[in-house]
Amino acid sequence: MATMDVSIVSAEAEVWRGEAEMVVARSPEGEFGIMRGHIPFLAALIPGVVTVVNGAERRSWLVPGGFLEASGSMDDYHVIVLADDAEETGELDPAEAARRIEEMRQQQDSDDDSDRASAELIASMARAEREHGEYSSPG
Amino acid sequence: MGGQLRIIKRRISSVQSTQKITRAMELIASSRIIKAQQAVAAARPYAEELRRMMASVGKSAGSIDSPLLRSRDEIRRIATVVISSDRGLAGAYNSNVIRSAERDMEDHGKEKALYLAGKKALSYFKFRGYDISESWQGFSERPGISDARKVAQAVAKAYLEGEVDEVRLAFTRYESALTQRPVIVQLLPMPRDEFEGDSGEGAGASYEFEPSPEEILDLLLPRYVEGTILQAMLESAASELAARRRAMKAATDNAEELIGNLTRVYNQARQAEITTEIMEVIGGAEALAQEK
Repeated sequence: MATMDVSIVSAEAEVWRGEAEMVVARSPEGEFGIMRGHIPFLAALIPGVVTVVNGAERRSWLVPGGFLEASGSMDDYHVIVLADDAEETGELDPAEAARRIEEMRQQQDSDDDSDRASAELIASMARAEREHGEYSSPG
Repeated sequence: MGGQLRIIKRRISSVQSTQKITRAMELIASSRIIKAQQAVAAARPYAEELRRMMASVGKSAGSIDSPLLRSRDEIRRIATVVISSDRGLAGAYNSNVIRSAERDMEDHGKEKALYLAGKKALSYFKFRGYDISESWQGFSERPGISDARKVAQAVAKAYLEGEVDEVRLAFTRYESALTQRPVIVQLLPMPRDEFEGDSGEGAGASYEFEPSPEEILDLLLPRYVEGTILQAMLESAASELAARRRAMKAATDNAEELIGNLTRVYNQARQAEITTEIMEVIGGAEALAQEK
């Protein structure tokens, strides 16, 4: 499948760089997936999980916030995630991940109800993803 | 052993133990310097990407505007952020950056507000009776993004609330292992030319934004301030270590020389003492021989 160049960069260092077919992240307007050739896109990220999918392989990071930019031509397409912080979920168990996302969200001192609902949604999705090892396909 | 000899001997051993300490500090600084340099390099992509993103937003939104970018007509009070170290024994490292900050404040001649990172800057300005708005310490050798964030938030708040009309940042640029230079840059309002240049590739591409470009810009700018401060802290940390290594190397060399000189004095004194003793023995023997 068509791959693109993806890098995940935190303020202190480049966290990861590689090829991937799809990147899934979350903006204030909802979850989105980016594949090669998407129109140039720039999004702010809210607390949640950024997932990079390449074939059967998938890697996820807990991200408290940041930005995602996708741009380039069909042959040279890249996605850059600028994360405020990025911790690879790896071994983290889903309940712990959900708790952390909730924590990050609270740190952003928003007591907006809709925000809370979306944080719960992210948390439950992270849980679901862990349990079923499958993304409820965004496209 | 005569009293003179004992005193010299004691001095030699005290210089030797000082030398052990300075040599250890030199070695520690040398080993940490590599890590500090790597940290400077590692933090660069983030700043570059941020700048590119701001350029993208600028292009698509036509013009970009934010309180953090707008310069004020009347500058009444200028905040200066000074990045120094927590520990001394780093040659002129701290006094260089502190002096250049002080000179800069005098040049502008406005009311001053000080935001100090590192114990050394704090003690310097406190002693001279400056009014200090806020200070931080405990991270000068190994700064992280959370440290930069604390500083960024404090100055951004002061700026946005109108407490200060400009924020300047004094730190030590790490040019090479041999050259480190104190520099002062304007932090707020952010100089527009930093990211209004050509964004290169992607120019002209119309972006899709989530949420709106304005909202994204409002989120990008504070990150950019944090990133700039982090970069300054990391470069200062590398400079601190380089300065310490140099200072400690000089101290170790001096100790070496001092030990050499003292050893010579010691040997001379010992020789003189032996000679005196021999003379006494000979004198005594002759006196005995004459008595017979």
